[in-house]
Amino acid sequence: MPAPLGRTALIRRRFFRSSGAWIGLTTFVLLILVAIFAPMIYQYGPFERDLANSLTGPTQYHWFGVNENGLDIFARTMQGLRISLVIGIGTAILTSLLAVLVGTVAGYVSSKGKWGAIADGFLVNLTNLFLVVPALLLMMLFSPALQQASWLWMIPLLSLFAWMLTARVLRAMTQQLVRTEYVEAAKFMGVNPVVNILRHIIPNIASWIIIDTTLGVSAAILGETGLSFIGFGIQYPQVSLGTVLQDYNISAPYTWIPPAMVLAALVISINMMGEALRDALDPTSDSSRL
Amino acid sequence: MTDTVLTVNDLSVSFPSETNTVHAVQNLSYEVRKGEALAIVGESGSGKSVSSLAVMGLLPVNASVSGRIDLLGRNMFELNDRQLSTLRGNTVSMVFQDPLSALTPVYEVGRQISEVVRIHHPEVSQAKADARSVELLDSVGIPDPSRRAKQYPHEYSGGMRQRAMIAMAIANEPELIIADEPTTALDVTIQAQVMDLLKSAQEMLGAATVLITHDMGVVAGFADRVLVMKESRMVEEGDVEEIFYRPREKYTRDLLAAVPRIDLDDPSESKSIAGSAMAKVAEVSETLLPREKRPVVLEVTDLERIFPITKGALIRKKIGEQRAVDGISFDIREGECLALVGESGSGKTTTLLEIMQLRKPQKGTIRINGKDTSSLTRADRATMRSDVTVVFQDPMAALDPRMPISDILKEPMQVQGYSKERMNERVDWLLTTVGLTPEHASRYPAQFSGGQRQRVGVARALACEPKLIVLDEPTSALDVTVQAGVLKMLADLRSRLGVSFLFVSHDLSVVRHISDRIAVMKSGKLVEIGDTANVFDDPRHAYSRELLAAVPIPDPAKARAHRSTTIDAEAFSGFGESR
Repeated sequence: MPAPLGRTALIRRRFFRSSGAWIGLTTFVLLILVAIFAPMIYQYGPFERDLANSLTGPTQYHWFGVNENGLDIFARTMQGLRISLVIGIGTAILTSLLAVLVGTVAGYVSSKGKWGAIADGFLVNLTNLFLVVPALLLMMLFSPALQQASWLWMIPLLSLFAWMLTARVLRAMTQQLVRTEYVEAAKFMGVNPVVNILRHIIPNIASWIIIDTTLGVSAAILGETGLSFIGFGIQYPQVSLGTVLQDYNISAPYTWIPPAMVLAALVISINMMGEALRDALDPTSDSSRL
Repeated sequence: MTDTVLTVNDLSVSFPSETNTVHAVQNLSYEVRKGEALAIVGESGSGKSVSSLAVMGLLPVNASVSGRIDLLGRNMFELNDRQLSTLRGNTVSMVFQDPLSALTPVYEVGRQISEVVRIHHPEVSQAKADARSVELLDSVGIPDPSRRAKQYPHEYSGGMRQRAMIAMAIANEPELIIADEPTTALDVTIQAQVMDLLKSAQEMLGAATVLITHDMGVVAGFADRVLVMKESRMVEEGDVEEIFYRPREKYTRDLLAAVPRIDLDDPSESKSIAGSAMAKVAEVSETLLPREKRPVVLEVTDLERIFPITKGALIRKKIGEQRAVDGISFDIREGECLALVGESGSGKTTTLLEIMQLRKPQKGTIRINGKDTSSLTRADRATMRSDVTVVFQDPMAALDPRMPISDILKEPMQVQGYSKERMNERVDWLLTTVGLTPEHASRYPAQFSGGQRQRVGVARALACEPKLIVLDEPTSALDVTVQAGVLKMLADLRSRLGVSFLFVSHDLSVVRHISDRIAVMKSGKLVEIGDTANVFDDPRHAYSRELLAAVPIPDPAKARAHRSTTIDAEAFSGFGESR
């Protein structure tokens, strides 16, 4: 009888069994490579104007064509892809960090007597408050002001309004884990609560955090492009996929179809990877059956 | 043969897994005749449950099955699902292990029983079926059945749910009843009642019965024939006397020897492994000082823990209280083992948690090594954490699955500030002490069996040279042969290291072999406390007697004599006429 597989090997095997994982991963890696290298070798920059060719379709010089302001669409799409990727991944990581912090602390203290219950109640109500405030309006309010400082402010701004649902799920998962005997045992040994959370709770909810972060990347990209599209996101001198789409001309499809396709490919590939990852990590999912 | 109800011929079931095929059952053959009770006995993973699910046609779709199962002359594998459905619940019925999840929580119990009747007899009117369900509940001994029939499963206790399941199983007077670990989730006194009920129901209907269990004590009182399974294969089959008194196979003998016996007072008379280990401990403790002269390790006086029952979401109103621990007092001396025995809900675990908190209890005092826990400073409490440690019930849940064994064992030592070299040394020593090898240190909990994990749990409790180890049902999740090994190890540790144990258990037969003194707990109160031998030979409180009488004895003759005194035949009078 062959030795049972280790956990990592098992997950890798399950992940790569799904065709969605392959398609998603290939597309995503391809898009990242293109985002890194294409602007280096392409002859036009995102803000170089070629007014002589404005509103012309794809040619061998302007791969995706030129918009009505004489800007090269391929150059802008690639630059926008860079920015969107950085903001998407950064936001997802920051969101998860916030959610882990609030969720595990609230879940851990909720079982610790009267003061714990009060602290938990505060964090839960804070979460609910963030869920009910009009996030879009507040982002539209703060974004232009923060943009003047740096486009990277987009990351904390988007994260601030995205961590709540994950935090609630993590709180519930932590409450479950706190009741398990190994966490109880650690408490009885006198292990410090912070160490206990870092050592026993976070590793055991890590798979969920990984899945959520992955899917959070695509959600953040959609949020950022949406905000940029309506003019409250990334602004000059930067360009994101949303701002590229903003310059659309409905009668000239080449002005909006290529960036839209890139955006769709990016979001779908991330979601496919996320789904495959979830199936691989969840023992009750379909992919664990043979 | 015309009276054969079920024939299983060369049954093999296997499941595909990630790396290889798992053979759950291999070449199993048996038959059950009308009115006969067959017990399939085996430890966890022996394939006993899978074989019965195969009979019901309830295996998951990815299972591959070969062989032949005939029920009343019909080949079960040739029937489609619709034809099987007409058999299930009518000709074959099943009693499951967990009565809470086997009943639908959103329907009244009476309705669920009448549903079984009406599915197979659509001509019966709803009113008649409802009346029948009340009769059935009455016959299984549910008090006030017409009111109870309108209640939901959550309003029933565990024992009553299992009675309702039996009522459902016998509703259509089946030819074959399959009971899969019907009493594992129940307390020992309830277990005795349910097994008696199942036996009388079977005798009443003359149905063939297949009882699947891991408990040899239950088998002795119930079965006519016994089939022993191990690692997916049949080991031995024979009459109940033959298996119990003249087992042919070594595995059967081991299985019987591993069962702790409550009926034998001299441990050496029992072939039990734990028993003989205990005999050795008894010799050692004789050389110790008399009990009164040894220092007190733990002293609990008038401990109380009351949970308020509140109502209302915004403004909490106290509407009552749950007296979980209600003024109990006991002490444990050095090197002593006190067993705290009681059924579920008696407050044993709450007592244990109160001690482990090392804080000021609601009422009463807890003293450890003479120090009152209410007067401890933070630093005192941290040091005291090394003196009092705990071993939990479930070896699967007690070890963090993401940490290697060495890190698990080092965790308490890190808290106490041990040096790195000392920790490494102690990890090796601890692993050898509990019967593992130092090479196990780099492995993860998932790579160990239940018994080995429980040994790791004990090693962790021993890590900082404790004075007192609190054991919360340390063997109840283990198979009997494994349980015997762990008990032997515990008895051995006590005699070698001189630690005291507070052994919390619901199982009297386990406790008899390991403890010096016994405290019997009921509804938060200690009803009896005394030396183990005294409590067993001469229980003074009625509840202690009841508990002792309910423990199943793995000896067919004794068990039968025992049963005839407790059977409740009245519950079934009038059954059958009602149809």
